Amino acid sequence: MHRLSLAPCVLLSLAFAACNASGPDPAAKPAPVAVAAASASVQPARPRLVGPDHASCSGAETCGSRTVEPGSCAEAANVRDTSFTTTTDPVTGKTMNVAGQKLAGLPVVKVADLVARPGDFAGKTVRVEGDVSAMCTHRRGWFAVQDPGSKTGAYVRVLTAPSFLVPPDSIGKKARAEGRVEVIDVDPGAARHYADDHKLGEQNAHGAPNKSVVIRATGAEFI
Amino acid sequence: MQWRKTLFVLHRDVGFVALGLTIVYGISGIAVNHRRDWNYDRSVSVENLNLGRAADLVGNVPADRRDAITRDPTAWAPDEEQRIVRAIAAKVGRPEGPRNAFWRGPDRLSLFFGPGDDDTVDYTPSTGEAIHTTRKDRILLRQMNFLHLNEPGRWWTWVADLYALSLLFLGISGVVMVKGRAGLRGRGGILVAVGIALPILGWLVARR
Repeated sequence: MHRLSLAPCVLLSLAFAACNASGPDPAAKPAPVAVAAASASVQPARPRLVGPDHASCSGAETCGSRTVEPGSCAEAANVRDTSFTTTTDPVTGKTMNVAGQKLAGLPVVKVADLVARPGDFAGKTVRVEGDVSAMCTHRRGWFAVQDPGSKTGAYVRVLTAPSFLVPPDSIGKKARAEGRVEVIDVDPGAARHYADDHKLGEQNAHGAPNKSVVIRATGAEFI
Repeated sequence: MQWRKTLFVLHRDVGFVALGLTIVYGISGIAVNHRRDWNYDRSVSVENLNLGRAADLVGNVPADRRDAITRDPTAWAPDEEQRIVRAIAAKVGRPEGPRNAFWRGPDRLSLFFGPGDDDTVDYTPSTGEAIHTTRKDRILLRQMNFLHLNEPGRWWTWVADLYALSLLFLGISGVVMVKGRAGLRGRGGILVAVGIALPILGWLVARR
């Protein structure tokens, strides 16, 4: 009986010994999320990036000198505002879902211009309008918007997490969104996910990290 | 001892109460665990159709326009595109027309019928082929996932927290209320050690 009671302790000791023997692993323990509560209206909270592609990240939006993909669906786990309101669009008179901050009424930038000359817009706050061609349906952390009437399929992904979530069933709706333009690297795994599961960026999804222009939105309307 | 009897009663009653949520969280947990293999929320039905070339869908137009429509979708006039969209809608049994239609690629005209992407048609003008995709919530599983993934938020968070605490209670009380050879000092102790070692070993193996 006495020998049996030692068994749990022995097993636990072995496990902890193995843990200590392998030494500390900085990648295994991401830093806690730093939430910028003081200036919440402008500065989105720093997301806790999870998943295999972000294993070496420490919770920031950069891995060393490389900017990582901040629009991953996992980022939506830390969304501060999961609500949206339904109202009537004063322009079209149709039902409209509003999420995030109220739009400021910035001048509209065409998606085609953003895609063609991302460097001209990087870091600037812009407004885009168009059709929602795709969205993250599981986490609702982003949607893709393309110019109305465009036949090229050119799109920009609008990252809503961690500020807010895309309302359900927004695919196929018209959208207006405002936010900061960023040029990011999309790693091959994420690009493959967008291509295979969302039919986005088929032409360059498989290969080395792709530069991609995204908008980190503060607010959006879906009509 | 009296405290063991009290613990047994509590363990039994909490177990009864926790059964419903255990079923919900257990089934949904398995479903979500395999998220890489399937859509755990929705069932998807895909139908491949041949709707014919755009020139055949557009209706009465001059011969030179028919050629242009066939050659280059970007040359479609807005009214021609509307007629083609209406024809596609009629062919897939949606004569009321889509709520929106736009190009998701140079050779991919998408029509949206239901809410979200519940009922869509992707038409390829170059071949005349189309993919009609319909999506439905999985019966019961969608509702279980809704609760398991805490989509309601707010008050449901408290329910989920209480359930998690009840699981902790069930686990700990189950361990300490059994005495003798089957208890913590005997076979139970070994099983507890195995149960604790499993996640530790899993973490050690998975992080490599």
